[in-house]
Amino acid sequence: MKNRNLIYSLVFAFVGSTFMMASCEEELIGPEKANTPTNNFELFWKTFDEHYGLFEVKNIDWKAIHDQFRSKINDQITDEELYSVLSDMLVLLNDNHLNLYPTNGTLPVFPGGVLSYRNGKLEILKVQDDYDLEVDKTYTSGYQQLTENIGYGKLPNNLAYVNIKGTDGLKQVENQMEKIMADIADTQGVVLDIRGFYGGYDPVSQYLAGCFASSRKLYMTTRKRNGPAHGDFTEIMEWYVTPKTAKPYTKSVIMLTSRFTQSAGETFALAMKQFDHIITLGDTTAGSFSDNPNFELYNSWMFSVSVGDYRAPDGISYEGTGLLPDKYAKTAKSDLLNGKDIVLEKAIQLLNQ
Amino acid sequence: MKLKWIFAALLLTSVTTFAQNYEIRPWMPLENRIGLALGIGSVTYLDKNSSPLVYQSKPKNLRLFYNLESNTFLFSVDFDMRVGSNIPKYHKDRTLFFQEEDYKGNSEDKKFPAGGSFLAGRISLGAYYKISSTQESTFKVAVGGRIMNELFYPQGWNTGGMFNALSLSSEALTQHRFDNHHQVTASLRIPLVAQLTRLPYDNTVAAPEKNQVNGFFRNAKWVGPSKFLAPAMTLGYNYQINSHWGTGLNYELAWYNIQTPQPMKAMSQSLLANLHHQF
Repeated sequence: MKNRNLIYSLVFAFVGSTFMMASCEEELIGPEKANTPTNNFELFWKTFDEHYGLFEVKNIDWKAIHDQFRSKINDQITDEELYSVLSDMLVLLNDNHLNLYPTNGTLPVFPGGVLSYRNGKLEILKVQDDYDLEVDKTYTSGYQQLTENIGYGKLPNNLAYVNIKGTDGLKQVENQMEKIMADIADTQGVVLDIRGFYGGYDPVSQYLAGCFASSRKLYMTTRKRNGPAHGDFTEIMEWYVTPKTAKPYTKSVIMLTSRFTQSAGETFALAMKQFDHIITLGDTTAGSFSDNPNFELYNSWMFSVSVGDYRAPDGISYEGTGLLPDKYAKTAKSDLLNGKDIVLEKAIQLLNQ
Repeated sequence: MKLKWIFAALLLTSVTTFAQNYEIRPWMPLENRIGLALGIGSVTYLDKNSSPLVYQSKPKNLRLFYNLESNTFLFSVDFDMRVGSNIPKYHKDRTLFFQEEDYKGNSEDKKFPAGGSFLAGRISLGAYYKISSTQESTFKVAVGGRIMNELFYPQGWNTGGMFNALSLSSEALTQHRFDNHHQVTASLRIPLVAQLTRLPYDNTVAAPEKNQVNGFFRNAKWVGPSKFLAPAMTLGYNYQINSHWGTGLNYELAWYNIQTPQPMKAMSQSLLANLHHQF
């Protein structure tokens, strides 16, 4: 009986300790600031002010944007009104990498999305209507999807079609690319389609570009914000593309790009553009290179911020503008609906010349 | 939650009865002890590097431990793993709403919870000097140090709360024996120096020719208590069932005050029931 009393006392002490420490939690962790529209607006503005890497590149007066929108904010505005103000601020930054994620379940995620000027106005392209992998597969024979994001097949006249739409784990990509490069080594040319390459992890893009590299070349420099002042950046990192796999492909390559080629897809395109045997065909890329981690507001909404300043080897930034193709071509929505990809057909034609 | 407490109490009650039939052996003999512990806990943190929100996880906890005791020294090796979900403490029901459409005119509304997961792991090696006492003493003290590698790896829509710390701590242990079956232990641990890895100010890991793990660990740097303060205390109750088997409960509380690249504070608690074998 004595032992049991002891045990029960100890169990009680454990439970008591847990509750006691739980009650100290706010003192030990710190409180959350009040969730008000004003606080959320100010935090949103401040987070961009202290982390956005492209104020100087894009010559943006962020303080003026604060003053422009501050008058629309008070603690009585609705979620819809706050959403409208914050998304309007994002559009002014002309950055495909900026998303706003409301978390109340009723307001849709605002895609900084893919931006395009049409008739002199900035529009967000929500739907890609110039590319469909399912249509492109009909031009190939023996198409294989080797990873979630990488597939390839054969085209007539000893050509190959390789499609990359994202980055998988580096080891997996290395293994699969060895197979692909060995299999396409004897072809006369390759159509490399990255029109649906929406992003991923830049070092994997670096490796993928190496599969088509003829020599080691500097293709990109990056630096990222490391402090609250607009000029606070890390040291510059240099990115080189180096021949990879046993048989890097150095014969003719036509690389297909679109406005939806972005992020790690765009750093991949930048690496590929360093080589003379690679010609880009299609539309201008999205113009969003930098990494864009998510931050949060007091109301638990999330938003992404481009924290880097990525540049081509000559020091030019293509953020907000994108990489121009060597030859412009675009497949119309009506063509896709009829099962035709005009850009792919043109690429095949170019390789057959 | 209640069921877990009842289970722990029943376990202790049953082994008390079971143990009455076994010969009592001297307390704190020279021996090896290996054991397995299962339990529950909570981890709460506020990482200002990426969020103003307090996150909380209530992970399940598994621990393997091995102790080796000599006349003057005590050694211990622990492997500890915690897995659970992870959500903002005051915004538990947040939901994302995506509107998607394709060029064929198909549209779809998708709603799903913006949740995350929490994984923590710890490997530690401790060595302690037993301050002089007799085998029959009811109260003993040991002092020493612990080398420990601890990883917090939350995954979700936000990168907050992530760190890895390889630390060297000073630690003091006490044990008090009530009788041949019952003993309680307590310890206090304070890291003196740590090789701390956090996401940088920009919250990204990408670097040329580095995978994500290597990209994360390239940010490792040695820091002192001004950048990594992480005191921890434990309370334990052990019941000696017979000459080879014992069981017990262990409570651990740790507080983390990390000051790089921006402040992160965290509190971790765990309560584990263990079964150990002595040989």
